Amino acid sequence: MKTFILLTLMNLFHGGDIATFTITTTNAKVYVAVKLEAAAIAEALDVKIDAIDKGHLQHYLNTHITYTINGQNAGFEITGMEATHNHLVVHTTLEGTYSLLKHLKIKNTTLFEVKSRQTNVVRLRYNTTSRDFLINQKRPTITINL
Amino acid sequence: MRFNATILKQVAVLFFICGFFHVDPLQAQGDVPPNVLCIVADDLGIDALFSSDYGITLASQPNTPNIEALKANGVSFLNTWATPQCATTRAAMISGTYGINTGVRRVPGNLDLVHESIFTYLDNANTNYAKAVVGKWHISNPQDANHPGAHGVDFFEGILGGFVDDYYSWQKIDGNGQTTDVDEYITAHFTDTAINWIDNQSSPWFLWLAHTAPHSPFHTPPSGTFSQTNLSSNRNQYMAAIESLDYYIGTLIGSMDQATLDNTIIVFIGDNGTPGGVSRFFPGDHAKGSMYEGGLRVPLIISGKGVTRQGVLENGIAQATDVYATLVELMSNDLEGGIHNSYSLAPALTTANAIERPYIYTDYIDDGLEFWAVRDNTYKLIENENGVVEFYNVVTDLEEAQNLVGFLTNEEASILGQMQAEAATIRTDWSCQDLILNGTETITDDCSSCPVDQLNFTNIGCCETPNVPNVYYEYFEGDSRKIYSNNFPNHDYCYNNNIPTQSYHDLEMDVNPVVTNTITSVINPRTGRPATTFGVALNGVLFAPGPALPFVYSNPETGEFNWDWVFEPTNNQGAGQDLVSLDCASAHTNNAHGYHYHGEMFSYLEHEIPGVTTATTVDAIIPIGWAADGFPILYKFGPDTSGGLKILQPSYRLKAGDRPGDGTDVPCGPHTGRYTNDYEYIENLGDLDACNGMNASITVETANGPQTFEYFYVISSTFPQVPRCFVGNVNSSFTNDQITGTDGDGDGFIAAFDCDDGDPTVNPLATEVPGNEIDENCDGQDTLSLDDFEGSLVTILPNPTQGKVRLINNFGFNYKAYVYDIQGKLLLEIANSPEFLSLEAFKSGIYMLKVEDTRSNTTGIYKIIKR
Repeated sequence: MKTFILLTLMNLFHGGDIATFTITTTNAKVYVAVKLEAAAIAEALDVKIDAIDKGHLQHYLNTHITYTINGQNAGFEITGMEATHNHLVVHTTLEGTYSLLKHLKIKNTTLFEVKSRQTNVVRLRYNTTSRDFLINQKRPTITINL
Repeated sequence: MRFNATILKQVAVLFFICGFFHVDPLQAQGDVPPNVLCIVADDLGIDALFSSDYGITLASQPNTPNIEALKANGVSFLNTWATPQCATTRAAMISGTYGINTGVRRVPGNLDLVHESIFTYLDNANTNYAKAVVGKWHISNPQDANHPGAHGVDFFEGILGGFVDDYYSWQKIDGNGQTTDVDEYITAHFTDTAINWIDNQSSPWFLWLAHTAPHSPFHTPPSGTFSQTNLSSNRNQYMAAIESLDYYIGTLIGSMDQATLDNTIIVFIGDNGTPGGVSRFFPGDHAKGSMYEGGLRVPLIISGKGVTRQGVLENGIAQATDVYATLVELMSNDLEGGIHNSYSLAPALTTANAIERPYIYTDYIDDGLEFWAVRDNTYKLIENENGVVEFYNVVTDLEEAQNLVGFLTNEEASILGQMQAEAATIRTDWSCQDLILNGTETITDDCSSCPVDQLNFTNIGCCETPNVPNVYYEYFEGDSRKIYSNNFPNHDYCYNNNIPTQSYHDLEMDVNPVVTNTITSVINPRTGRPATTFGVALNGVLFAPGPALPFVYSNPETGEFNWDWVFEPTNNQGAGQDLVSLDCASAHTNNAHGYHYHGEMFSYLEHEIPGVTTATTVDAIIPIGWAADGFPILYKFGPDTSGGLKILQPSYRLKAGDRPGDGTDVPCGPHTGRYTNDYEYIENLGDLDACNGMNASITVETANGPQTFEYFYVISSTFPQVPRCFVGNVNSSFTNDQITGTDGDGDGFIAAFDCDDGDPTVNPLATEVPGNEIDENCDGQDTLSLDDFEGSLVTILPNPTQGKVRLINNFGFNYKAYVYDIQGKLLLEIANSPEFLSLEAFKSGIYMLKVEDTRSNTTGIYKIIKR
């Protein structure tokens, strides 16, 4: 029998001006997997796709995303990157520990400056909660109460 | 009284034309209230007056120079509905209200005084109009000579019933309410009465002149008032009556002095269609008394004071009820769009494209059975209380010969559903879309603060032709049918930007599927998110109907998505914001599946069978794919009860009423089809079950030969188009996303499936060439297997081929050869053991060759690849 590699992608979304921000927690740490269209982020960074590095991304995301958890601002650090199907998945970990998530406030203007119709989808996967939120230029900030 | 007809006719026309040609629109805008002359013709449809304006070509039309002058000086509303009968239209016009609200939906009928007539309205508005009705009243039942007066008419002279037995010998109710015998031609008499009444008015006047002509009986009009020479037929008598009516209209208008004429608005309207016995365009059962255009569509012309659009043929939709609001605005008050069920056409008298109301409505009870109809600028719904529905494109099919129910496109189905919803609203309440401040509305159409859904059915088209091999490789392992696909379409398409052009899939399903007792949705019932694709087409492209982010309703305040309300992709197509960019095959791409179909796959279907998407019948079923549970998928045609084939109808419809939300967490507004959840399944509504499938026996060609199934799914033209659930066991391979790999030789097979990824002539679909020390078909050996060789009736060379193949008869038997396409359609049949076959006329692709031993009926089936 033939052998093949099966890759199951985490996200199911339609191409074109969409980025996802998947929030998960483990052991009181909060993780956000950011999936960006590689060409779009390259355009935003004004570099070639294969020249994108962690430093570029860290600076860019820091200036475009603000997380507030339970009333406290939370910085984040890039812990990994991978490329898949013309997209870039950036794994980030938020500073601090949170035994309980009560309030999340997210301001996110990622790629708005290069894509006028950019849609950023926040996917919250917390305990048994599975909720999705729309961020766009009309509403760059969302508040999630849990 | 008899006229010197010829002379008077010329004089009347001359007065009339001169008068109107000298109207100064600016002068007409002055403050002096206009006089209004509303002329109602009895039984005059669009085929009987200026029929060519409606695209109706007839050998003859009545000669009507005076009405033609009205037309030349005013606006002709070409899409005006009345009701199918006299009384119902008159009640609607005089009350400005649909029959469902007045109760006058049959003949005879009585317009109760609770309904404010236009005459009463003028009184209540404290105008000083003198108001008269001359002619036919017909909305009093039982007949009451005081009824017109009770409705605010100052002067009435005419008949209370619907017609007279003899145009030259009849009884009238005179101005004193007394019954009087008359032996004068009725049209002439009503004209004289009208002239006398107008002559006696010193204040602005409103005359409702309702002639009985050209209603039957067909009695020859006075000589000199008509031009018809052969009166041997009712048709010609009917046309003579119209010409005579025109003559007397000219007489009336010619009797007015110029100042009066300059200050007069003239409305001319028919009350219903032409009777079947004298109609020459519409069939008898589509004429007066019917809900078809031949019964409903009537001439409406408005000209005179203030009408600056002159000689205009207006295509906006209008209703006889609209005369009420139009005249109110011209004589009295400005209205907010209109009043009751009456939309003011006054703006259209001076401004183009002023008619914006989306629908008109009418109703009628025929022999105890209630009918209603709704139309927009293009389509028309007719429905009756027994649930019988008809749907027509009245722009292209004025005769209403082609009932589209059963042949609906997705867009037409949506329009039909919305028309049914609008009819349901009108029949129980006040429309929220009529642009009229009516009912309990405080502002126009304020019954819903919800934004109106803007559905879009136009795809982004095709922008590419195939430039990569299309690979659909079907094989069998144990009890499984397996399909490898590179998911690249074999038809014109338009990919999204930035998405890989090929995606590779390894799919598996039961080869002998069974119907279970469990229905499995393509949607995860807990999360509302897509759980699996539905199936795979025979070109290897996946069906994935479930929409994904961001095409999900989101709370406008919090941004949170509600997965109970996902966009129905085929109703929200296009390139704009919030639109799903489906292409000419109702498909697009995503990262999980690559290219995938959301609905009726137009360019694929047309590529396989040109014309099939618009065909109403076919000769054979059209297998088009496999569902994830192993059952076949057919394109919309399937068996009917008489052994033939028909377009199978889904059993879904739009839900009635409004969505449960207020526009925050849950969307608001009526169920329009914007969301999948706007639809509901109604058992036995159509032919198909909840999964858009059917229990019926069909036989389809597979890679393993013909196979019979007792159930199949259908891709339909209307919702759900692609089924949303399964009756069998769903194979998990359809929940997986694309597999990764690299196709080094460009033959569509990734290395994991290709025993030589550097040679495009070597792959599982290649034909083995014995003895060349190359394993072309990747079965692990250089030659055909011993079993294959011994069992093979013929050897095919070359295969793949550019055109011709040679069949080497391995056993010296006599055979017939059949060539099928991949859908099992027979393309070629040759008897007498042909040594050569030509596939030169066929497109590139995979074909099936069946070789049948004519003596033993033993068959062998082989793939042939045409390059």
